[in-house]
Amino acid sequence: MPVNSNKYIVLRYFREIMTEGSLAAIYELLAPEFVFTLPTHPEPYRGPDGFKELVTMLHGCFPDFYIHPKEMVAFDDMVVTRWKGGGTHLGGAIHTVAGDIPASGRGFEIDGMSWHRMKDGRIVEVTGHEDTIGMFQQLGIMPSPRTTTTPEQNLALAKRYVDELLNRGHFAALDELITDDFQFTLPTQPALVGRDALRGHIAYLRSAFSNLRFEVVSEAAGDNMAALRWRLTGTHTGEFNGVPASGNPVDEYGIDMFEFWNGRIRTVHVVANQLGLTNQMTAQRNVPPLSPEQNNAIAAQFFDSVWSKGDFSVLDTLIAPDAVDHSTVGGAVKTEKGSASFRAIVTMFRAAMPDTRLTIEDEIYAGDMVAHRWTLTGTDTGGFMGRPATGNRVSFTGTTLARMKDGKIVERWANVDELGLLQQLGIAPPPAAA
Amino acid sequence: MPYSPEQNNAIAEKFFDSVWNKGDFSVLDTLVTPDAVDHSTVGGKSKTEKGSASFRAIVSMFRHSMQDIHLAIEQEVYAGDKVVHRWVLRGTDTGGLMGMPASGKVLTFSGTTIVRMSEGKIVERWASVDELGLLQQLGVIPPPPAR
Repeated sequence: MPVNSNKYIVLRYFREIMTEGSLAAIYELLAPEFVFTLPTHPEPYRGPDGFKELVTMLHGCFPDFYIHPKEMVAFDDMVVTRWKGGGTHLGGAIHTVAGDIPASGRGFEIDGMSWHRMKDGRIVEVTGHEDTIGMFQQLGIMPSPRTTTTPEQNLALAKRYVDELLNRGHFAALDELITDDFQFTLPTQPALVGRDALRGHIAYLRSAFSNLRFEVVSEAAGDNMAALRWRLTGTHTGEFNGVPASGNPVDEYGIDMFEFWNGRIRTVHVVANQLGLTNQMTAQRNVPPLSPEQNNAIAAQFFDSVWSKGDFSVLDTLIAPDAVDHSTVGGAVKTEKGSASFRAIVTMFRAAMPDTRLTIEDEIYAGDMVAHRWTLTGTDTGGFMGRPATGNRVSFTGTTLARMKDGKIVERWANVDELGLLQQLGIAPPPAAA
Repeated sequence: MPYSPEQNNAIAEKFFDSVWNKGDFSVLDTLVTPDAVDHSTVGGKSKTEKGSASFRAIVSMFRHSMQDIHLAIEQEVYAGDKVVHRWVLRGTDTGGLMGMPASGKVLTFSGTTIVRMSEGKIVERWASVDELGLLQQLGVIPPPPAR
């Protein structure tokens, strides 16, 4: 018998026998030699007749009794099922190892697993385990460490998660909203455990999408549970899941399901249209050319970041990989591609003069070109080109032209008063007296 | 009626072509105001002098040295009252530069010059010139290391 056929029979067992209480299904699906063993029942239930007693008792105690399969493993003649089961105690007393328990009107939902053995398309054996302590706690038979939060409370918490954490990055609310053992799952992604991991995930999301906004479009809640369907909008301005910033707008939907523990969020399961999001991030756009003002702002940011702040990340984001540098440095023409030699030069300067500061004195921009006249100042405390530090205060000028395309530098031409620099460092003879 | 950036650029182009390539120094009076300021650094020294006298002297020296001198404008950026020219100057040193004997070398060096225009005349100049490259080609400063 194929394993999927066995799974189908076990699914019918949970739906028709356990949840619907169908006595006809008991005789159809269970073999005559059927044996059912559960730790909470002192004696196994034997045969379809014996099992009928258990099913009748459960539905008598819990008129809405149910078992919902969650995951199944089928192998050879076996099917193993992880399930959630529960009901509301409105009917007769329950017979348990702890004695008879009268109806309380309370509900419960617990985890359980069942191991079915099959033979010739029928079930011959079931061995089960279930969270009996959880059931006793929820039914009030044992004291419970868990308080039940109402659907209204749960919705309010879920919405604070969206509004304060996702939309505003207001991490001060993390301790209040999230349990220590928080777990976050998203298909195809490793699970995140704990508050710091959630904080990291949200910060990553917020850095990948500017103007990020989750808007709740549908909501649902029950005891200790809530679900929100949301719409995500934003602009893809940072790397996300391996896709480099595209500047594309994104607009997608997904669902978060929340489980609460004593008034805090313990798990969030997310399923969203990740494929659609990826397609939107990678879609080719007709990008309108940037204005000369925008080109200048990008170039100004670039030179300030690299020279004055030593922030080399912009070498990758603001210089095209095939950018050409036509500058003459030390008398040699460069005409090389990318940013490697520029990085090397700035690194040398910043090592020699940690207080390096490049000040843009004038900026002229038109079309795709930007011209900057600048003054570079610093103190030679680290030494240039293998020489000992002179301690000299250095100040020299230069003019740089950059051609911009799609928000990146694609060509550069720099003319620099290198002679003045070498004179100030004592490497070239000083200027002749006037 | 203010001059457009295109008009300013055309005037600046004419100025540099006339002076450098044609040796026509009349434009020094017609296209540069008497109180124009040159902020360029030359030989490690800031000039910030007025008028066109030192510029005339520099061009005279180069044109004396190089019969075949040619300044080619390779890039132009202009907006508002500013014009930016990136240029390459080429010529054969047959007459000697800066008091040195003629080297006979073909010299090539680049620079970027910014001018501010007012009423069709140059009123300010800033130049960044690869003087180091020029001095290396003349043998005054050791040449760049071989790659």
